Amino acid sequence: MMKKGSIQKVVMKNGSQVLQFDVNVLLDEVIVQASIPEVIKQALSGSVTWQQRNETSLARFLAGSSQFPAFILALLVCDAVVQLDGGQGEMDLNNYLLSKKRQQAAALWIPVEVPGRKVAMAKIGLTPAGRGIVIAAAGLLIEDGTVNGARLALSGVWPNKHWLSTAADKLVAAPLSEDSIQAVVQALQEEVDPPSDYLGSAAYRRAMAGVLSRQVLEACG
Amino acid sequence: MTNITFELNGETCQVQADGNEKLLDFLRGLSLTSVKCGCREGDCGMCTVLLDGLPVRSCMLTAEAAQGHQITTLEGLAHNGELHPLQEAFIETDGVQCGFCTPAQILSAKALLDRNSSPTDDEVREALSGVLCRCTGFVQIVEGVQRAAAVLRGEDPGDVDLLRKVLPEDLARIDIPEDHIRRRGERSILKPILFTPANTPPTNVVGRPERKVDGRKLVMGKPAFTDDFSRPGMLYGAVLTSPHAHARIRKIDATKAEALRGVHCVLTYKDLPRVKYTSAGQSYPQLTPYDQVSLDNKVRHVGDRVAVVAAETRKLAQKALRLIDVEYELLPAILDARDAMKEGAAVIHDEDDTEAIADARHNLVHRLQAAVGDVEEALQDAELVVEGVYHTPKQHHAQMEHHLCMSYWDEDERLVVVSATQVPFHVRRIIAPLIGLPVKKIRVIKPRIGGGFGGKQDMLLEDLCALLTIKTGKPVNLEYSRRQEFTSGRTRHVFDIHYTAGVKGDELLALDLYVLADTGAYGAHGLTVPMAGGFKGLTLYNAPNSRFLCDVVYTNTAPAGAFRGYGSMQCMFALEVLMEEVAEKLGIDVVEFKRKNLIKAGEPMLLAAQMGEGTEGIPQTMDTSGHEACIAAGMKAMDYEAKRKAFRNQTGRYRKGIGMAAVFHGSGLAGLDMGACTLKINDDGSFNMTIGATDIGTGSDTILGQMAAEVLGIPLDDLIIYSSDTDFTPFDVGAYASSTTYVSGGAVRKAALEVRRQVQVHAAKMLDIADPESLVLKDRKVIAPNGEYVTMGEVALSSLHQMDQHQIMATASNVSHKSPPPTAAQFVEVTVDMETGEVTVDRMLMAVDCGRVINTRTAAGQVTGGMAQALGFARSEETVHNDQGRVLNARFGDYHIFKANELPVMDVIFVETNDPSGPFGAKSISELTIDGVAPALVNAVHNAAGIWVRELPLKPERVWQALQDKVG
Repeated sequence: MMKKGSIQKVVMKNGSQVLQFDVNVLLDEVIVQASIPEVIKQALSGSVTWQQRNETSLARFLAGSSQFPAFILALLVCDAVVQLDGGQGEMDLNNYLLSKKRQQAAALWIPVEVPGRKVAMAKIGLTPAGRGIVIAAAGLLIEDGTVNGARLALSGVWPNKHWLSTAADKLVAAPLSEDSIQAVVQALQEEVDPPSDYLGSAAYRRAMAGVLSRQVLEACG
Repeated sequence: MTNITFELNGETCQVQADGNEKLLDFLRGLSLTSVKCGCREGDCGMCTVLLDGLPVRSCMLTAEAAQGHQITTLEGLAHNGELHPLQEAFIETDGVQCGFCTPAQILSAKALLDRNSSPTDDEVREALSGVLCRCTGFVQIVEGVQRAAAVLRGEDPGDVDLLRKVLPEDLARIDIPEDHIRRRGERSILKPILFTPANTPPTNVVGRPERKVDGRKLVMGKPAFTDDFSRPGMLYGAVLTSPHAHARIRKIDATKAEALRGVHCVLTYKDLPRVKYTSAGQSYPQLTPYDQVSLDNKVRHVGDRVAVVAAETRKLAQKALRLIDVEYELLPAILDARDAMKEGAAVIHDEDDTEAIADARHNLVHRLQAAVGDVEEALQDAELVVEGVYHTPKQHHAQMEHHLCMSYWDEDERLVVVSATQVPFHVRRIIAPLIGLPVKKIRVIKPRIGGGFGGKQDMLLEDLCALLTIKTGKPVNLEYSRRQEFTSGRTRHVFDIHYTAGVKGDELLALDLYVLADTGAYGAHGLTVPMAGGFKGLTLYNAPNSRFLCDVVYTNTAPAGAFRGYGSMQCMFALEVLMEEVAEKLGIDVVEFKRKNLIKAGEPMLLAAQMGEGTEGIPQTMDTSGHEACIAAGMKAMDYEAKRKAFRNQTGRYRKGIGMAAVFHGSGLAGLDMGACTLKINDDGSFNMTIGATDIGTGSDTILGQMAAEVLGIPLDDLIIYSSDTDFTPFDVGAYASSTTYVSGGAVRKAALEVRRQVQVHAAKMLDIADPESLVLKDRKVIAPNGEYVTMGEVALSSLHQMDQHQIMATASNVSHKSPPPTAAQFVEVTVDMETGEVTVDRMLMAVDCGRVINTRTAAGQVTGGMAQALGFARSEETVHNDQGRVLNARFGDYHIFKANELPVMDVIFVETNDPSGPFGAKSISELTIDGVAPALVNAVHNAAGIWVRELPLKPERVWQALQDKVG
């Protein structure tokens, strides 16, 4: 855990800026980057302690990520990409996390400045910094008033490793509106399959999936 | 073994270590006792150290992680005895209560200040959020960090005293500074305000923010807690606990465990005589059924004791536990108190050797009744009758230091038990028959305690630890793991509360209270907790017609025990919500309704004669009450009336609300609690003060010292205070029932007065003064009316060596036949998210009358810490089990207590009264502070959202469901 990792800023052809984090970088080094999106800072503070950030490298996070659900969601809606070790190319973070046998990662690429992209996150927890009962995050790419990319990620509403909602696809190629958000929220109610536990029943989680998704999508508008 | 080279507190360190050993154990093995163990699961942060200047949890890293790095522990901060500014500041602000989390808090703060010399309060809270604290509520810790930051920046941090004001006779003129009203929602920490009546006699040491007498060793992380002490050849014990809620042990075979090399002893029920006891650390005779034996052939809850082993290492002890074969016959379990008395329900205590269970066949431990007036008639006569049914949760103490003890034979073949206990003298008495030794052969030592809150008022491990020492002849260290704390420790009693109030005009005519109390698998505090709750839950309003009925039942859940608030906070919650409901139905102002009906100074407490500590009580009168002043001060500081109006008829997603609760408590157990103190003079005019009173982190050693110092005219620093050791300190019942300040303080004052008399007599001879009483003790001098004086040191040398030689000393005991109630008004302001049910607590303020405030700093810490614990009870904390009785949240990560970055703004106001029976006019404080948050919170939520939530805690879903139900 204590190897030093490197951080580089890369400017892409479309003007986007990406931070490239060596997987030895600690989570605390991620959060202190001035240009890191607010949603990632939000995900790595509050319920994540300074100690956890100092002990956890990106490699360790990628190997066993379940204890940082908000960070996963934040990275997903920011379109983070995993650079594989040994020149094996790149992989979308969602695919990487879902792969049964994860390949060794070399770096994590986090787009930090993307023209037209808006991201937001909301959480309901037992206490303000407690473990999330339901967390929702949205990332929309809005160009000339049209949604050209949409990601809606949730935790606490599916029984297994599953974060991205397909309902968000309904937003693409149209302007963001109350109606389009309502359509997503409605579809989401069908899509989720929440567990039930002492933190919240399935019915509550399902309701909150809608409430929080609406909230984060409206925040992106 | 691996060679590890690293820098430890600035020195190069080369050692051989088991590379897989936890860094925590490795560092403690190097005698770095500041590195505390709170959970071993990465949840509590007690084991925080700095690795290359950054905080990490040493229980989550192996020793190998230190290789090539710089490790800093608290031992590395002070140089040549000079404390780091953070250490100084933590003492000055009383950021140290029990001190168990202090090393980790200070190290986290140091890392922050090294990175950011001017952090905001929120940044400090975020940096500290990885280290739990159950005592302080974090206010004085954050103050400490900011104070140190100022010092490190070269600034003057100012004084640490509170804001002192005179209490006006006309309470409408009570003066709250504008910034304390926080009209714009400011979050900065403000000094508490102290209102003192104009005629209060001046004092020199009492009433001052004196530094805690044990502060220095705690901020330096010196060995002070039970686990910091070791003995040559010490074995490590471990307890095998039941995985089943209710079962009979059909077969138990420890052969394989015993055969394991390095295992010295395994004990099961077959190895021990069947001696009945109750674990409740209470005065003799304990009135609850003796329904336990050290190890039984039946288990009655998940976590019940099955066997115990002693081995050469902790790891080996755990391995041995896994080798014990147990065959259980599973029995039906009762997990809900409402099922316990049903016909045909499983009988939890079917053994034939437990006496004094009211109705064992129906799991009814006690049926309690008391009444004054005629409730039935009064309810018929009432113009309005309001009923309310309320439920309170199974809260866990969550103190940072586990239950643990160490036992050994001393050189005189007496058994010594060092224990993290609140009740050393009771422990000695309780274990004697269990281990087959007379009391005179047992010595119990209480070192510093890492928080108790009532959880350490039970004897949980000392018998087994002692038995292991007796069987092996060796020192043994025995502790519960953090998970066992949740399953085998004690909890708050779950109460189902049914109140009926009858009102005529705006007068409360009748109050009828029924409580169904769940004592869990054993009845330890099952008599006294509900009795205390019922008494206070009826006496706060002292209705002329009051009735109490309570069924206390067994269930197959972890035993309930003593817990700060002791039944009162459950009943206060229900009562203060009920009063709000009544006032609303009457259409009158709730504060006015409460003011009119609250018990007043001079009134008899109608049920006091019937409801004592599990038995008949003593008639008592309410001698003083600060309710009027507390309510007035709190309302002004909260801008209560304006907000109440402004928060009506809100619309939108987020709605604000404000609520109030009036509460009171007691000060010790009238006619039962006894404390004692011995004072003796030393050659230099200093004094040894030995007390049986048990400081569990509240600062009682300090405030008791202040009382003695005040009487003797010396600085606190001239007292060497020691508590408590059954061999060397006089008796005290221990730290419970809010008795220490009032009862033990009374003993200290008496002892000090007698010593003062002896000093005066001797000094009068030295000064050739006829009237010793004319001499004044002040500033370490004994001063005659003519201005001549001798120093205390001269008196000491003269009396010990020269003239009329004798030891100036005195021992005094104190019992009070009163238990004067401290009073308070609690305010809570919230924001309710109408879509999610999430309740954000924006501000809590408590205006407290604890009589005379003895130490303004420690008292303020009691208030903020109490409010923080109460917020957990009200808002989020609950031990949850599945349908097999297994606890689902048996670790801090799942149970979740409020962290530094989650707590709201907390303000404290003191309104002093002068209790005629209390030392210097003092009453108690600690338990009072926990009583009011829950009802004030529920009332605030009602103010915001128009719903009544009568079941705690206010988890988001519970509030959301109530909102859904309201909409229909």
